[in-house]
Amino acid sequence: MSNPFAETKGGAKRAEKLGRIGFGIATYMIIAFAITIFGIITYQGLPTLFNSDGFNSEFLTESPQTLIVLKEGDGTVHKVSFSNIEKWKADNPEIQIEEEKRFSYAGGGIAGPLIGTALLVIICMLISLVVGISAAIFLSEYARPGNFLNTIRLAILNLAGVPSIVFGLFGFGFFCLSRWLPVLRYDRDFTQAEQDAVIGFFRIPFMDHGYVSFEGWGTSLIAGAITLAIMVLPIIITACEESLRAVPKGFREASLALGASKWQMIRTAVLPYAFSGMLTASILGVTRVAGETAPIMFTAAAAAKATLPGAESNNGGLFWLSDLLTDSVQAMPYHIYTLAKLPESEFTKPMQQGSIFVFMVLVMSLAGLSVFLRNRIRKSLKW
Amino acid sequence: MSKQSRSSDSDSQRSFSKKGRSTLLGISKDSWIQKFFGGNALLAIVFLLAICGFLIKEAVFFFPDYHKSLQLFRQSGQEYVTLLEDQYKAQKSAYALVDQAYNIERANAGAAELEKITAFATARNKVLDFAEEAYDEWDDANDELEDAQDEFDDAEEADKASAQATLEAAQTLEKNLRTAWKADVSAAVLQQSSLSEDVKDALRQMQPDQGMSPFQMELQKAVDAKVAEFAISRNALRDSVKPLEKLWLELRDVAAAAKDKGVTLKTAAERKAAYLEAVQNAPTPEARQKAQEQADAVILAAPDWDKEVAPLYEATPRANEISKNLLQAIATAKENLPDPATLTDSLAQERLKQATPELVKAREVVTARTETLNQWRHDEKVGFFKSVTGFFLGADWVTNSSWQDFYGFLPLFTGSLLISIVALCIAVPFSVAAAIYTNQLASKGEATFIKPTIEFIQAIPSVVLGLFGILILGESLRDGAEFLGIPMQERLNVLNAGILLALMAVPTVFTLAEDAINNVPSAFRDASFALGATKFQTVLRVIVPTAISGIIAAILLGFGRVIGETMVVLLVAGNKISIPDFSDGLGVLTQPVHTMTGLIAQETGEVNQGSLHWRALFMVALVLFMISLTVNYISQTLIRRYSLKG
Repeated sequence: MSNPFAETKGGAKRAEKLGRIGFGIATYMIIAFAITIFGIITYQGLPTLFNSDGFNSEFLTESPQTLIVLKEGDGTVHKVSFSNIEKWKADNPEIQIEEEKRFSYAGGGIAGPLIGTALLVIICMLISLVVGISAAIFLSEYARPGNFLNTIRLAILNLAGVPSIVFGLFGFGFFCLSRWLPVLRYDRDFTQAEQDAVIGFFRIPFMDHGYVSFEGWGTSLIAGAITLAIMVLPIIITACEESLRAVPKGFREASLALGASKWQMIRTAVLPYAFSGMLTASILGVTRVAGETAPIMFTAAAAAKATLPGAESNNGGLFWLSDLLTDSVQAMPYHIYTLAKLPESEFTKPMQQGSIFVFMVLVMSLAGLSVFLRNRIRKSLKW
Repeated sequence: MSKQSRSSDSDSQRSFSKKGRSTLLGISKDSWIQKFFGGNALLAIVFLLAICGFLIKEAVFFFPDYHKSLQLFRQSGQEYVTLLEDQYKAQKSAYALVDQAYNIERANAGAAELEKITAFATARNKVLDFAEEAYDEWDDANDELEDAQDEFDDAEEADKASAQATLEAAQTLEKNLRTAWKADVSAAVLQQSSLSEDVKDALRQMQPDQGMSPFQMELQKAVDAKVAEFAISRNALRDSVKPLEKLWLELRDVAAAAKDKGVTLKTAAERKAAYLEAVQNAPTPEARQKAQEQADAVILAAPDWDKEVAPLYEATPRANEISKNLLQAIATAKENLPDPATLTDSLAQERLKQATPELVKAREVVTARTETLNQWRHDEKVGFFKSVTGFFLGADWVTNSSWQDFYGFLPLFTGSLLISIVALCIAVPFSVAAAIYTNQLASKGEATFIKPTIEFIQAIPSVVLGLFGILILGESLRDGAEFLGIPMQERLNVLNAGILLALMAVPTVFTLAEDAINNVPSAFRDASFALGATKFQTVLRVIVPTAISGIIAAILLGFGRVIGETMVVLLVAGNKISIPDFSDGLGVLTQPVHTMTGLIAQETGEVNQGSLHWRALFMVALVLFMISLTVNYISQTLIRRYSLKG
């Protein structure tokens, strides 16, 4: 008599095996493709960080500038950035130059864009974290089920689905060009310089237009940061709410039972335990914000800038801050976009490859950090 | 929060309200805090409404403005000229193909003769170089001879004799030098041993003052004779196009001038309105008076459209005559065109085959346009709906044109849709397979590696992928296609963008699909196992069907992400504004396209706020916004319905 529990010989088993292998191959192909891209970018970008003298510090400390390629009679090629050309010529008077060619954006480094992106991210996160965490606290601690809550949730979901270029167009029209919000009139006793610096921030030519506006902003750091903040808000709210909800109900009930007010309860029994989750959320937000190009291409970004952000302003204190915020900045993603539009040339390629390598590594390590933190929190906080 | 805790909260407030509970404007601190948080949450709605409202505010006047623009297009007679232009272009493109076929065929059929002509021309140049000195001497003598001839002709009777002597001397000299030159030429010809005898003879018979040699002319004639039959249709087409081109260019100037007047009127009206507004807002009486004067100085004189477009109506008989000729030429061509199979060159055959449908198309276009042209009235109103259909169904997006701007949405929409579909076709099988594998088939260790790794892909900035597509992927795709024997003319095309977007869609689809599969109650699986199904059978027949609405929602959200992506398509899609040619089959993947997002990113920076172009861009953005809202809404509904079931 045969064993009724013996495995049947048939197609089912083979199908299982084949299916498993097939699905596995599909899965690992995705990962392999991503790793290939990562590998190629690293392989091609890494050499830009090094030159004949070892580490190429110019790449990380200088701003983008024109590269001058000097060709000697015997075919030797010298590559000198625009700002160094006088010094180089003085240092090497014996070299006879046959041919001089210029390649825009191919020289210098990426310090300006890096600083600009950092500023954009910091200001954006300041705004979006304040709004986002507050909103998350409301949604998780205060809101009662009902139409209001449903509407807010619907708005958040839909805001998350809006294409980034639409945010860019909105920010451009709303913050950089429009003049349509009625607001207060300003004190006429300010001096002209002060008006330019401070009032320029919310230029309010009440008597002339009867409107308040952001028109003093133009293409500016603050316009870009706010646009990015609106874009990243749904992500921050969702992630923060999740980390707030992860705090066990018992903590709240215990706190309330001890006579704490609602806010005292939130402050002492909920926020401290949700803090690490919010940190992860904010890093996730940073990753998203840093990589975005479309929202800043009209609102904040400048292709070329001679100085670092804020260095042009002669004002001090608050006026300097206003100057900084209302000035356009270079930003890493937009810089890469500018590089991508350049005509193909062997002299611009190192800059292109180096820029995407550095930028990718930066963004990916932030993403890695958030994954790492999330895993640690999951391990350490177990209630 | 539960109801209980709320009621206990308000109870406690009542009981302990005196201690540490300050109030502001009659509202307690806690209430203020709650309102602050609630207000921040409200911002999400505010932002969404602000975006929606702002897009609508800027876009809503697009249709009226576009309607006015189209109205002016008709009023100024530009529409009439476009009717001619269409005929011209259709006829010309048919002619161009026939002409190409003709020239290729001529070159091929008369190859031997043409080769001889070339050989003759090369040899002739060499020979002439050799005899250059002799030629110069002869040339001088020839000039002298001409002078002498003139002198002799003008000479008085008395001087006739001496003039005759000079003339005769000059004639002799010229004759001698001509002989010397011919001797030189003969000597040079002797050195050209590779030439055939008839070429040599022709060279020897050459005269210094001769242009084209009869030898060459005869050869040309022989070549032409070989394609004489073909030439009939080709020449008929060529001759029919010319008068149409002339008429078209002539009337174009008329219409352009009329349009300029219309545009001037429009700007003048705007200026006047601005001055009148200044009158209203002027702070002082003097300023008011000045503004009023300026406003009065702007005279709004509408052009006399009947007079402006009168030349067009006058030209209608001519246009009819011309289109009759066009049709005649097409008929002649059809009758006389050789059968492609009889042509000797394969490329010529191909061109001629292409020309046949073009000729049919040209006949249709000419007939239809001529009919419209005869019924065309410049004072007929353009229906408002025309501006709407002109936008949504228009096939041309032409901006900054000196003639007329058209804002047709269709090429952008097809481009976006095509790329998204390609991206999803690539991404969906992989990411759904990965979701099933990770959640159901993989070991736990594998799953903890795969999940974060795929989520990690989301962090790659899109602009980095875009530049990667330009620097590397485009080239590799072209190499790959060449290896497979598929021609890929453009490096930046639908396929390139589709692959990169697929990579961007994978994390979204994967995460959501994995969630959906994860949410299938384990009882389903257990029941299936209990019935003796294998794991794979359970996955395919129980779990995936249960999770299917969640997976579809994931795919939809992936679609939303892909269609809204900007940087990759801006950099990699090729940015050519035209509806891709679907007749090419899969070859459509190798064509460059433009997309909604890419166009907004590319053109917004350079338009004036409030212009028609600006409004058109906002209209595109509004449509894009609506598409993403709809996609979002459908997928949310699916998820909700599905989670109720689960």
